[in-house]
Amino acid sequence: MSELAGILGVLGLLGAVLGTGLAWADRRLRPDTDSVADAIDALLPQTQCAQCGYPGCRPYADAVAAGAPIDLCPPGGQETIRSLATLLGRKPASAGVGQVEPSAGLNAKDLPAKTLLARIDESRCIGCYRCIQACPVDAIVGAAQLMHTVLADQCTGCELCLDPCPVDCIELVSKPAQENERPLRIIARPRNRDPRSAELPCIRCGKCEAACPEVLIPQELLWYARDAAWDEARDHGLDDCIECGLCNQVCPSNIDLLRHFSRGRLAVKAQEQNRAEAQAAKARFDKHQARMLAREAERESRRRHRLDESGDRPWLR
Amino acid sequence: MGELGLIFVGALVVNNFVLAQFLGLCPFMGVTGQYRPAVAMGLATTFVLTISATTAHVLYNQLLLPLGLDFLRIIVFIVVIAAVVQLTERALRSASPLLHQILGIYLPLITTNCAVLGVALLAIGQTMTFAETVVFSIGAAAGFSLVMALFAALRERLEHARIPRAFEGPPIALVTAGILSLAFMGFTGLAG
Repeated sequence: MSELAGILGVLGLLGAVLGTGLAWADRRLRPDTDSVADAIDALLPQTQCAQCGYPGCRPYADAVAAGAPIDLCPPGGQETIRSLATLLGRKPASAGVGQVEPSAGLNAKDLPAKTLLARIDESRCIGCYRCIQACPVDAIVGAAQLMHTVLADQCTGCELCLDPCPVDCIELVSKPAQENERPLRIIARPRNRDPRSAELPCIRCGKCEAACPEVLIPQELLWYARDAAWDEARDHGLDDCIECGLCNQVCPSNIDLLRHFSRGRLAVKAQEQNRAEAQAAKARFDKHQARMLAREAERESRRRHRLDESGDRPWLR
Repeated sequence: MGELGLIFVGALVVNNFVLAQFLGLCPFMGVTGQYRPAVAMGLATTFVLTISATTAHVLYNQLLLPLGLDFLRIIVFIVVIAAVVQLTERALRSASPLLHQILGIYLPLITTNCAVLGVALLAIGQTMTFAETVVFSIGAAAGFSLVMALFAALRERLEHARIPRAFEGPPIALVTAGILSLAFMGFTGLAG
């Protein structure tokens, strides 16, 4: 009996002490709800275009902080999705389109949002100044009655300038993708090459072929690589190259084959990523269209229903 | 002093709780995707682990043993750990809500991190003194944080490596964890 009292006493005491401590801590330590949204807001493009479905960037930031998807911002594009994913440690839900609110009203539907860019057909521009007022990032320059043009670096492809244009001379085009400059070296940097000595032409000696541990034909791959014919290069085994650098070591013409091959890898990778992003953008766009159509259909059916109901009561029409 | 140093090194690397005793694997696999959250998780666990282990030691020796209630140790320790975790969560939510959001469910899950309970129970099982318990728990916590940081850095590097498709994601992480554990076996016999 005294043991039971001891158990109850110890647990009760512990509970009381810890509970009081926690209650005090709870009152002292106010949760800070704003700073997450602040950090998110800083990453958004601040175009206030409302294409995400929220009234502006700050409301969208609040929503993301509360758990909304991070890939709803068309002007920000893939870049913003990536930086939000890093900040919040969340995966962009682009693959699982089912749960993602459709975002972009992309006209060029096969292009990822990142690569879109507005272009003014300058021969048709009447210099009305309306697109300049609409542009949230001041990417359009020009003066009244004079031709306008778009600064490619500033344009986010938000398409806010399309509607105000009275002559429809603005269209969205794809921005040329930037090449990644830094090649990835996996195994070895060849030591016996003198970087100062220039590359000589390939003399087809075949030494690289003999050296390659993956039984590839580096000299052949090199021709494709120089022509940027990556599909052919992959057919001839570019993917199997382990980037060991042995071909560089044996080449009597001092050709940096490895650099060509790792560049090629990056190019292939970028190509594939572009394709995947384009597909994700298309999926988002399709979802958006479907939702719009469904909404329209529902509105129409409701209207019909009302007309049917009205009958001899015209005031319902 | 030398004795305490041995205890510290022993808990830090030789009997590392994650890689040698395989305790606390949940955050080890779950939060090590990125370096920053992993280090934060290590620090949060360090805080919880040292405070709860020392508190548990005091409670056990000053309250439970004199009353003959030492069979209550597990439930008492769990209550203490849960309270410290709650305190940590509140503190983090007010100090760094971003970190709080990134760590998410793993933060309250420190409660069920068996390394935390393990340290408290081991310290009592080996009848350590108070000073020894403090050093032991600090060593164990530092070892946990060290492994979290190491593993997160490895996984960030793996993001950029060419991995055979079948091994992408968790498989390569588990293989890496195994190799890291093998490497830690090299510390065997270093201290005690």
